[in-house]
Amino acid sequence: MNEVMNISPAVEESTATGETSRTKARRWPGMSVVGALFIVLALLPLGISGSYYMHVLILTFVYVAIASSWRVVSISGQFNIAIGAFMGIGAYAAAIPSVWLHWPPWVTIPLGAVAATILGAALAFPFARLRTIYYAMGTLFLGYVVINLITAGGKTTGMSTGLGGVQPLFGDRRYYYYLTLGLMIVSMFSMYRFEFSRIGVRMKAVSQSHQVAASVGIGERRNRILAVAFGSFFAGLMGAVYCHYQGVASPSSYGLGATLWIIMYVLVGGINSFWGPAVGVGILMVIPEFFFRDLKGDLPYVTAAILLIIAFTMPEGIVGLLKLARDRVFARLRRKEVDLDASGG
Amino acid sequence: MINVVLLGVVYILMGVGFAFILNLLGIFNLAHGAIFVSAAYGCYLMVVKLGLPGFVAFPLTVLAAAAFGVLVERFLFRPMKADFNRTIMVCIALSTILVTTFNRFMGTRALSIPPFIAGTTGIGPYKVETDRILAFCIGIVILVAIILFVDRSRWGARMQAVTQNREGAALQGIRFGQIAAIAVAVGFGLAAIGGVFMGTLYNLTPFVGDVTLIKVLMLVILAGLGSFNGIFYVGALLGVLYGALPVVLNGAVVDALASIMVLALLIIRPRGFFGHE
Repeated sequence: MNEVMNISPAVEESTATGETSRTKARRWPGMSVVGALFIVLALLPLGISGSYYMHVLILTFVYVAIASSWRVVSISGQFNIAIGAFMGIGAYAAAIPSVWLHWPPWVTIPLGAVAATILGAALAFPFARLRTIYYAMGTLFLGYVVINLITAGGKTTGMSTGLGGVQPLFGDRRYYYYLTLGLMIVSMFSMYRFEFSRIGVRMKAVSQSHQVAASVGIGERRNRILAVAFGSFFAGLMGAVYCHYQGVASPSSYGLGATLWIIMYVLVGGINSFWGPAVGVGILMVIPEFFFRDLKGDLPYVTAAILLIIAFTMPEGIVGLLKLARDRVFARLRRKEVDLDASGG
Repeated sequence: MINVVLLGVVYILMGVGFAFILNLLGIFNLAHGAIFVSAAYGCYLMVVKLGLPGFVAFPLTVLAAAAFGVLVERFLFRPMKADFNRTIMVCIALSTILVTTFNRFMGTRALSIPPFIAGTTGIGPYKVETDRILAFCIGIVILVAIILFVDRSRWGARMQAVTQNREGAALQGIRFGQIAAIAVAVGFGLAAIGGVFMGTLYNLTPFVGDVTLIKVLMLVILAGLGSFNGIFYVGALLGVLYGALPVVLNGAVVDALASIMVLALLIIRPRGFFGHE
């Protein structure tokens, strides 16, 4: 652990072991806000009964987990434009046994997640040699290949119209709400532990300089494949759950368009912050769905405008901006304390 | 036969344009497909709605695309300072705006630009549409012009210098801003030429851009990143692959074949056929 800390001094302040009691204390209010939010979300179905809003919230939970899983891959320096395909692998690995073999959903959903993990790791292998922009180009192509293979699957995958008749898990939408909420919380918790663990620090080291990382024994390829495998587990899991919820798996929902949406969520929220993807989904998905529903076809313009504003004014995303504001406020408060001490003494 | 060659020419045009932007600016231009589609729609509108003859509409489209490229470079790419995340955001936004606009106002049904010259020519039973031959000739002339431009002209030399070492080039008094503007203008212009060709020869929908972008990526990966010559050879190869093989094989099989080729190449030789480190 020590050598990791030595070679990467620029790794974020809050790493697992380098954490002092002070930073811990400062993070407490943040954590309690998140906890309160979860409690509100858990009680929400008692208040709203409209099934459309419930649908939007289920979608939100699914995409928060998927966008976070994309960000976990990105901490190892990999800009993966194939996350939609991993979601699709999970969905089809669940849908095919469910439709053709009538396996129960409690078997097919874990199967989807595991299939996405294994295939994700296998597909990450050839791409682990490419870096930065070339990795992005390669994975964009990979996503296309996966969708193509799914479409070419004939009757088993339902071709381009998709595979319908996936068995539902529950009859009531409320249970889906709690299932997706629960899965989101569990996924976010594991991703949090992952990112701020030793492995997460290693990945950040690889991302900052693979040569320095290699010189202290942090293998680049191993860590990068591990990141993809870990990330695609959650993408596959949520893809499988969502496909059971919708009752259909269609290739168009896992293509380049879907992937770019996920990336947009993360970039708008802030790629360098753990809560970035959640905030991004909130801004790009929940706000338009609740407030701009009449726009419909013009909605992409709103999205594009948001993207341009973020790109020009806040390169670290919205959470990055909030962090900056918080640091400024803290710094000012501390200065005031010092001033008071000085004048009082 | 002419289809095969023409498809190859279109891929090469797109690939060279994409590589210009990638090598000189270090920007992964996700909006390349959208530019391609916009040019095709622009040309369609000029020919069908304004009634301009093809010979006027075609150069106008290309010039407009190049001018748009200069604007995009100045106001969208340059302020991002080559920060990867921010350029991706800008490219997605640009692409979204263009594709949504055509989707909204032109509909999703397939359109086709009317041929510039009607009729066919040929020897005996082998007839070919005249405009395809014309498109092929124009494409070849433009490619030769691009090669000469990069190899022989003063600007080409400057571009090569920037590709090799940006700081070194700056020390020799080469302005990066100018070079970048020219590169994006040339890239967008080439994409526009490709778009108009595809629009005249094949059907046009707002979504062909994505497919074309993927073909271009395949071409650039296969050719080897940072290599211009490779793009010509591999573009011709892909033209044969996508133009000739569907006659014998199912289209999906051809796609799968090409994909496996790329994946295998990435494992065996990640530099691509003609790449260097």
